[in-house]
Amino acid sequence: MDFDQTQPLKLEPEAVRFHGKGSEYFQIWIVNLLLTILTLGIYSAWAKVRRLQYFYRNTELAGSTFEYHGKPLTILKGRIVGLMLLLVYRFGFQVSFIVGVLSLLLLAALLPILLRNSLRFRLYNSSYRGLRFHFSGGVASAYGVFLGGFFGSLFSLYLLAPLFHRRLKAYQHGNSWYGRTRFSFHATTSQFYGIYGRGLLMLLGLGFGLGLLSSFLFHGHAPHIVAGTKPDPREMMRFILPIMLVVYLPTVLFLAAYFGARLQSLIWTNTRLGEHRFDYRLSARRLLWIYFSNSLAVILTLGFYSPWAAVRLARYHAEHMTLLPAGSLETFIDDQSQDIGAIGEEAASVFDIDISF
Amino acid sequence: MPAAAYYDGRTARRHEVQISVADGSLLIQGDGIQRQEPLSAVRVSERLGQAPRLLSLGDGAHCEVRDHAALEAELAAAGHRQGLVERLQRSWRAAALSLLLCAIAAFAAYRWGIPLAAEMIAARMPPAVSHQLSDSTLQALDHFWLEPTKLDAPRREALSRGFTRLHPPAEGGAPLSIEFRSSPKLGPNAFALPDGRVVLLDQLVTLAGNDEEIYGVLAHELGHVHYHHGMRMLLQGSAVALLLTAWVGDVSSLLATLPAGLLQARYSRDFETQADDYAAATLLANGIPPSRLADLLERLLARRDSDKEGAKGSKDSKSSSVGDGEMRSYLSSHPATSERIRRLRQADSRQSQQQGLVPSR
Repeated sequence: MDFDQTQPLKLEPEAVRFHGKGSEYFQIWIVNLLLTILTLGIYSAWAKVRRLQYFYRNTELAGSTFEYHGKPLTILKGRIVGLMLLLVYRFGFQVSFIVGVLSLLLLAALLPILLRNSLRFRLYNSSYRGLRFHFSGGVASAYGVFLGGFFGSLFSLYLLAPLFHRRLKAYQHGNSWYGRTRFSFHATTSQFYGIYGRGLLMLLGLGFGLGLLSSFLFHGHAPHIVAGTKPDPREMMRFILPIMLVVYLPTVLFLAAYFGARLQSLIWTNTRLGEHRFDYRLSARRLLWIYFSNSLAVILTLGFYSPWAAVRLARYHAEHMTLLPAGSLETFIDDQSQDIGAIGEEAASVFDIDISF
Repeated sequence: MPAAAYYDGRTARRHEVQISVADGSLLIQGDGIQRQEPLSAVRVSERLGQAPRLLSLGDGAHCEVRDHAALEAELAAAGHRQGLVERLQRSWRAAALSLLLCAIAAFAAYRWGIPLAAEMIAARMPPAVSHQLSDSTLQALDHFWLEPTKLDAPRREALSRGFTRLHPPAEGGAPLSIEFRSSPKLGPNAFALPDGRVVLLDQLVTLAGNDEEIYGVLAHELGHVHYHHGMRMLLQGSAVALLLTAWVGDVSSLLATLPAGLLQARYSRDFETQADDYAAATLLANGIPPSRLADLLERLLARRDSDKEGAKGSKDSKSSSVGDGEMRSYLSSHPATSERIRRLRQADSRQSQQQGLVPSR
């Protein structure tokens, strides 16, 4: 890399800071929620732009913020398309078998393009210091990564899932750009297998313990559950509630925390931007505590804690990210080889569908 | 004059500048930058809490401003007005009002919006869909809960004939047919499938004191069919679950499935009352006193009570404890059974007042 000699080289690690506040975000959230309700969901696209802008602009790296540029109307269009696909998928088989199969095929054919386009939309609409990010992953590889990964994992009984997960991340991170500088991805397949393997072992231990516990707690208390008739909701709840609290909730929280922390750490410590590196070490235990206490607070407040929960989680994620610069951060330049106007035009015509990895 | 960071949009280089607004223009000065742009060509980002604001110029350059008070003073002096939503987002009074209105909207949607929408959609559902749904439901029931009926053919024939002779109280009743099954697990029970078929269990036939009581239960189930209760329940359940997922959000989407069942209890109570009223009207139209259905409900109550006694007497008796569970589940899905009995008996006396006699067949 060619460094501007007039700038002093600053090689100190740059920690990401997050300045969002729960009370501030609550004010934004509740007003936009009301508008979303009053417009029967249409305003949700505007609400989403505000939410992302609030979180982007409150994220600071080396004295500068990030910004989100997505246009609400584009997002609205994407949401309508997404909703229609969801309906086709949900009710296809209820109309007839043929329609069901056709709708699945349609979905399989469209989904890789949609996922790739939503990556492109999200990155193109993100900027830092006035330079945009963008995504250059192709359609053909999107089919390989998304469809191939899905069926490859399925048919290998998930034995190959870590391999396909690495390929997905390599596609995502390896094709991302900041201005004219490309990201690269260096994590190995065996590192992914290591995390999955340990996670599986811990899950087995957890499952055994919880199974033992619940067999003591619920022995002989199974209610009559009849599909499609009149199940008694209170009867069901008496049974389902404890099962959810004792078995389902701990398992899901554990999975989310363990894989969230370990995989995100692996992925980002093995991602580079040009020669710059990242340090990202999340603690699974700490993440588990945040997930658990957030969930509890959200239940107890009937959902009204969620703005605080979102801010708390974002702060934890953001403040554990550190950029390890290999040179000045001032020397990034805009990508002039690409016609940004054309990319923007194209990105604006495709769908932004909210699927996070 | 607020301090700002200026970026030219071509490099990531940061310039420390001062900005000011004068004569409808934005002035940017400092660190080798000297720009003047008409304010009309500058996009001023919305204020979101204490997050930095961005002033974007047409050529991709922008200023990042953290000194909110100074910037707002400059903008206000230049006649820039905040948007309505922007102001609401910064007012605690607006937040409190929004909170209240959201709560009201949620309640209204739950109490009136979702039932109304489900009713409209259910009435327009293609018959093929409800037929398909009924088939798969019955298949699942047959697989897990139901056994072939043990009633002999003449008995079934007689019940079917009596059932098909029931006149609906109004025009356009569903085609009537009974699916006979037995189920020791479910006990005395009957339920309607969305396409109008009624599943009748041997245990209910055995419990009934006479055939008119059975017709009472069947008329009640026809009420469910007539008002599309099965389909509406399904739609309302999906809607409640969907809205809860959206509401609780990604923070804990797994929690969304949890209260949906509780919220449904109210819907099912409303439906039972509606089906009872339909049953009363049907029975009256056919010269059967609605209290026949009340009689059967009382038999169910009595059976539950005696099972309870039995269970208390011999705790290790497997059969009676199963019976207890089965009765409890049938009756508590029809809440306030005594209230229903009272309503049905009232329908009876109203009729006898009008006609001066209790009709009987």
